[in-house]
Amino acid sequence: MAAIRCCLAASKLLNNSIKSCVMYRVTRSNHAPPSSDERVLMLREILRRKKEAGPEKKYHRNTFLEWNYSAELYAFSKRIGENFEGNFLQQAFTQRSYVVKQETLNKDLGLDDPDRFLEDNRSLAAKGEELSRNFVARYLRTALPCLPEEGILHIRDHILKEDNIAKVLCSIGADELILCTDFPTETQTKVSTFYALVGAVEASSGPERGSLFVRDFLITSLSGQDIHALCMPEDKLGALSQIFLREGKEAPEPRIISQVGMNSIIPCYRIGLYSEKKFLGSGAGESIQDGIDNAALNVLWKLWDMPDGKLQFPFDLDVSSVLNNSRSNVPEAEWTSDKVKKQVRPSR
Amino acid sequence: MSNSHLFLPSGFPRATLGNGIGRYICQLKRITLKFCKERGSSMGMRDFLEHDLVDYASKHPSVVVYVKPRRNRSAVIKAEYCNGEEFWMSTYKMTREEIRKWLELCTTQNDGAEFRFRKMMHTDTPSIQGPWTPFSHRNPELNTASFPHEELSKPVFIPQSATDRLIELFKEQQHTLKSVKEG
Repeated sequence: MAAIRCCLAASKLLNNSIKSCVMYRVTRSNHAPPSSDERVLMLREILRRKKEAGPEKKYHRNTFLEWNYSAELYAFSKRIGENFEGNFLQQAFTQRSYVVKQETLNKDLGLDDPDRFLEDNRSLAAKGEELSRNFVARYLRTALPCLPEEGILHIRDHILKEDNIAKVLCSIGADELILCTDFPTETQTKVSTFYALVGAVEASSGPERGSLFVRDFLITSLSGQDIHALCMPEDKLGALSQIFLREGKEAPEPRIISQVGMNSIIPCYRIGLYSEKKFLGSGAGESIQDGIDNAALNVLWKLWDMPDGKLQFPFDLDVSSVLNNSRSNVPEAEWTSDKVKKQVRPSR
Repeated sequence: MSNSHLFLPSGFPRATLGNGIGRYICQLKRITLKFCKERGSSMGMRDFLEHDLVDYASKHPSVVVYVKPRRNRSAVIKAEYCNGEEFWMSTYKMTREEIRKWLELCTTQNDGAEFRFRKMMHTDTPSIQGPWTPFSHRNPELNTASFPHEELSKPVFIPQSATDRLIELFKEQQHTLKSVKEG
């Protein structure tokens, strides 16, 4: 006990700025194990100091002793099952900030060797981004040929969100391989590295292989997500009426089929939509407006060939057929059933 | 599930990045095998390194294997996974065969995190019939019924009165008497 007290006094005296980081050792005259009281006090003191010091500082994995960058790169290419030609993989991971840092470092050391020139990934990232944007849209158009173009673009923007791409990059184990100066790695850095990887695959093995990479890693991030929520129109009944008017039919008319519990906190209205005295679809909701919206959506999903709850999004479309599909879907302002029927539906 | 597992993170079977929908990715990024060159407790690990490590590394090229000798510490496997999780396990006094099996587990598992499954299955489309409403599975007879309806206006359950019960008992008695006389 006395030893601990001594230590505390010493650490206080020493310096406040090093506060809890002061190493101390409890010395004992005899070598008997510490009694339980002493042990508890010691642990309590250590805990207090840990709390005072705050969370432990994080270090990049490459500062660890067991780190071999070339082995990591090799394992990465094997992990994603791609072969990279020449220096493309290393280049894809090299950020501009890292190159600048290395150049200044070399200059400080007096090494102005042009052979030591490092290539950054900006050109690969630009190529990869173009391929990804293009391919994702084409893939969605092939998978959902009846959905209006606006819906396709909404889903594409969702897939290509920065957070989503950064998540994908981390989950293929590539985030620690990025050569950059920022730590923790920023989202933007991760995104550009992912695009650079796509670009590197494309440059090494051709556009088909690059597209396959996008299909297997970006498109699959849609799995487990509600695709309907991503491409839902703002004004549901309005959109449906516009389609019917364009087709020369009567605008759909909502009617209450049944209602229950109107005075309770959970009322339920079941609304049906009718056009020219024909039943189109129905939906239920807690208010009449909700019911109308759900009924309109029910009809819209049927028209757009993505029935609610039964949609099985294909994640395994053939890449070459997707690349050959250059048409764009019918925009919402011109959408009619006839226009969609005219377009050749690809076999699923 | 016992009380000690109440605060375990729980959920449904899941795969990082929908693993297997696109292409399969081995979730193990790198593995560090730590051992001592002299201690007996690391003997199994040393045997493993001598005989099986090259086979393991060539069989799993997507895993970076680091071997870290350190004096007078027990043998340890440390695995790092794609989702950032780390899995640490002591292989103190384990045999070569045991270590081979534990390494197989490290390679094939999703991550080492403890996790309680709420169900052993998961589906993206829990209902293909849509959400339930009070009107689902309704008797179709009701669609054409006109109200007030004599049959439907009756209470669903009327408890049997004492008189009814007496009549029922009497009838039963008569029936048994009759059958006895006949039999």
